[in-house]
Amino acid sequence: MKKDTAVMAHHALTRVVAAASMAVAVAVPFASAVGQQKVGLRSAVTSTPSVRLEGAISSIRVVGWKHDSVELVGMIPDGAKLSGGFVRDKPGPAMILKGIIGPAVGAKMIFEGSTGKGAILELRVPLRARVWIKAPDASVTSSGVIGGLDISIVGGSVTVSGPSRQLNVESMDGRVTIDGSTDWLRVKTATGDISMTGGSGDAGFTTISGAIRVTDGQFERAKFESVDGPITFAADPSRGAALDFQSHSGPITLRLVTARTNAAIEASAQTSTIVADSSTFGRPIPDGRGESLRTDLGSPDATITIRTFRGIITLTGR
Amino acid sequence: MNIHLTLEQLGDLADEHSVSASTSAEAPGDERQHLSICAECRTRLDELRSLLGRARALPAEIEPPPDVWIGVRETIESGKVVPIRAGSSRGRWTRSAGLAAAAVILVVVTATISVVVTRASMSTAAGPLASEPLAVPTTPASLITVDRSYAPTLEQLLAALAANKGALAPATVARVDRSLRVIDAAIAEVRDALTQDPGNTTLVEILSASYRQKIELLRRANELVPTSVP
Repeated sequence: MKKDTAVMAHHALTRVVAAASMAVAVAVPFASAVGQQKVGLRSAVTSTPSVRLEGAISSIRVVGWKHDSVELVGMIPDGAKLSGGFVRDKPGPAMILKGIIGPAVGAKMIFEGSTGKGAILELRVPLRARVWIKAPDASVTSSGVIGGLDISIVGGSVTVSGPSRQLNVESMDGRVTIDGSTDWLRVKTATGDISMTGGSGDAGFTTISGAIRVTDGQFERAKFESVDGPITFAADPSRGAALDFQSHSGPITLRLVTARTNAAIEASAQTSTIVADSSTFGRPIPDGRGESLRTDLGSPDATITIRTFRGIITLTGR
Repeated sequence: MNIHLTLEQLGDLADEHSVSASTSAEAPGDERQHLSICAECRTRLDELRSLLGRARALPAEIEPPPDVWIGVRETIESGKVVPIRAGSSRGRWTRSAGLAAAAVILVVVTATISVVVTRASMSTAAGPLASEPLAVPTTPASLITVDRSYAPTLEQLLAALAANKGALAPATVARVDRSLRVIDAAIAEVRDALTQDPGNTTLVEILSASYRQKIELLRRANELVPTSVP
């Protein structure tokens, strides 16, 4: 009897030590991989994990799936190093006593490349995961992740398909393509082109020299800004929308379905001209060194404000 | 006994765009009946509608003043407990960059104040007897205000970028520099226009947007510095 008790106590102690060591090491690191080899990492996670990948990644495909687990597969090149791992909450006393390992709440992995080549990866995450990817020159594609995406690249490209709650993309030269509606959206590029098909409740598009092109979908509150890149809006303002377009010298073109647009439009071209179908939009009037135009379409409950220093403003029907 | 509508019921009614002034065919029967006989509830509903209307008219987000970034950064920095290591190049850089940024800000602010004060005193000294207009071009107050509000943040970010350039790929640095040149040219152009037309609020907005673009580009460029491996 005494022996049994001692054995049970020993087992319990072993479990406590094992679980406690996990609690101390919140991020569990794994061995660095050297050489051209496969990556295959997987873990059970909560339904809303935060997954962060960063570093030398050439291409990554992110897929939202219906499982509460994260899986990362792919190849890393010669000389590359992978650090980080899955992140777990500190287990409570009951979990420690029972030796239970809870699902990971996220993952953080950093890829270090020495040859200029990056990893080629596929990441599968729960639908409601939040995913951060920061890679200098990567081709990033994502589909089915409705939780949130936060992507930062320099070159390469970002392509996002399907609806999502939050989408934040920052790129220098990389092209950004979004196909799907997003509740909250921010896209910022330096020279990369931005194109979106789908609407948003709250959107911000900012570029310096890239082209912004938005087609289809309804936008409630949205801001479109460029320095010298062209802006083309061929979507619809939703009821009560507030849309703001601004450029320095980039042309701004709005192609609206005038029959279903109820908006007050205010356009100002400081040193340039406004081209508009006068039968629908009225005539622009001279204003200082440029032109301005104010008009109402339908029963205006939305506002559309357009400002440019020397870009051409074009208003047409579609 | 007359039981008034609850706030929740009034909220539901106020939220329905189709509901007309005091009664509605789409409102639930009991509530509609109550509204038709209760002036107090009608008044409360009108007030709630008015409040919701004003709330909807508010902007979805407000750009924080540009110098907020400095305050946030200072708060973060002051909260850090960083052990001082002998020979730590990062520590040396942080201190020198901070001092350099402070020096630049001091120079900019001092120079701006000097210009304003000098011009004011020159105008006063010239008085009504001055027959020739001053040759010094005047800087409109609107331009000074915009410049001043963004200058400290820009100085800090430019100093940080100068320090971080070594950690960025040359191609990235070239990309950032190219975009900075585009923005700087745009800023110069709008500043000139604003000098000619100081009361033009649209120009002020366009100039502010260009400054914000520059700040955003610099912030992003600084964030591109690779994270060190834990």
